[in-house]
Amino acid sequence: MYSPAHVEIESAINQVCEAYKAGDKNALDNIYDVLMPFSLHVCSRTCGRYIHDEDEEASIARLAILEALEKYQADKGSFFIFLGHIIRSRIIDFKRKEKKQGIIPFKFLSKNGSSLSEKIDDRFFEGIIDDLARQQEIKKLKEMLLDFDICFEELVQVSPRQPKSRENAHKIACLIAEQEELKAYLLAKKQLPLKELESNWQINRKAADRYRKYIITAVLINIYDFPYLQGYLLPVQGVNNNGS
Amino acid sequence: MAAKKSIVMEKGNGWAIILTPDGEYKKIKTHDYLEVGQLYQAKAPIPQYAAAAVLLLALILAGIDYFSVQAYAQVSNLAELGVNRWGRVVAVQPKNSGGQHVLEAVNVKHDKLEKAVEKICRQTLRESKAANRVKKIEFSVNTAGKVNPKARDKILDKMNQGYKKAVHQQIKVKKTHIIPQNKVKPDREDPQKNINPDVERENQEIVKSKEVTDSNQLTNQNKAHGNRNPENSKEKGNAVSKGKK
Repeated sequence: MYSPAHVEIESAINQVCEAYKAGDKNALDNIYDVLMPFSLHVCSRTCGRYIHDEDEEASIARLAILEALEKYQADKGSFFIFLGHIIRSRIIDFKRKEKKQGIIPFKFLSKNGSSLSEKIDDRFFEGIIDDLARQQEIKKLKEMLLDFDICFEELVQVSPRQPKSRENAHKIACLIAEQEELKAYLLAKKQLPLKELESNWQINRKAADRYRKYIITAVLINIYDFPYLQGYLLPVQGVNNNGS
Repeated sequence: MAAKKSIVMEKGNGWAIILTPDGEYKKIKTHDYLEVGQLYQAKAPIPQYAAAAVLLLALILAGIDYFSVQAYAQVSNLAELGVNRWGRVVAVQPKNSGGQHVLEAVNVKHDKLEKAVEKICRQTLRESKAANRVKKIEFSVNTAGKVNPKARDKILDKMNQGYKKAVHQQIKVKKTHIIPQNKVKPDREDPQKNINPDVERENQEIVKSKEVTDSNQLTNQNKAHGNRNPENSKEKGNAVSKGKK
């Protein structure tokens, strides 16, 4: 479940916790950018709506981070899960106070967010951690696609509708990712090596050109470190020279 | 193993772009709370489409059933009426020019059989009177498909009732035109004017013909009651009822 990056973060957090307990209050600055998005996600899922940095729930999350750093012990499990439980408890307490004072808004429970009365387990927070990791991947991919003048809206238009067409497109993408010369051509020229594909691998030039942007996206996902997104490309059983 | 969910790649106000488990990028309309990177499970098709489809199918089937002819009711050689299971006339076929003429004068489609027969008989009697001839009206029923004596007899009953109503109406009309001699008021413009003996003779004839008509109807009714016995049917699958003027 946890990616290598996540394991690194966990070990970094352990060091920060030790430093914070020792009296170094500035140690939090090193991991604040990592902890805050997770905390806001937990708040959002708990409240069932998007929580901004300036919302009251975000302030509660910041206080919960400090509390977690003081109380966390490495042998008790993942820091993120521990932090998630504390944030959720504080948010629930806050909502109950609001309810008593009659401040709570009418649409208190949303369809997608967790109900405050629901019991949740560690998988809830693990899901949030995975979502954050996926979010990072998607953000990175989006930035890469800008270099190729591709956006997700365009991918919706050019996405092959037929499963067979999608399979063929993925085969072409895998071929390009595996062949160094084709990969180098793509990254340098920001274009598909259609001539080489047609002459050396007998790939249908028209089909490749029609789904050009989709194939380029698939190549980038294959080449770079996108473990979550790679699972959404069709499995391809290897490519022979005629591209079939 | 749980079904794989789609990944939210981009979101906006009321929409989101998702990457489906089979590698397709789709834009969906949604007001759900979603975050980029979140897993999304597509909802099942809205059941109201299914409900609308079922309703449409029911209407089509009801329409087909309404226009399905269960039996053909023949009024003499004038017209053939196609009757559905609810006793309504859904098809009309004139058998000759006379029938065509009658059907042009009265619209019997979608009427109850009894009402349709009443209209046809009334129009026929009216035309016969105008032409000063006796018109023989016969009823017959031909059930489409299986022979059903009960349904056949029911249709014949309705046709007889329709005929009776038409004739009864005709009698009522005649009654209002018959003025006994002792009730005739003297002409005020010309008090010296005597009653024309020819007119008096004509009135007497009208009264007599009415009596003849009444007696014929009684005979017809008796015959109609007698012909309901299926053993008296001459043709297999058909029952005949006669009405005379």
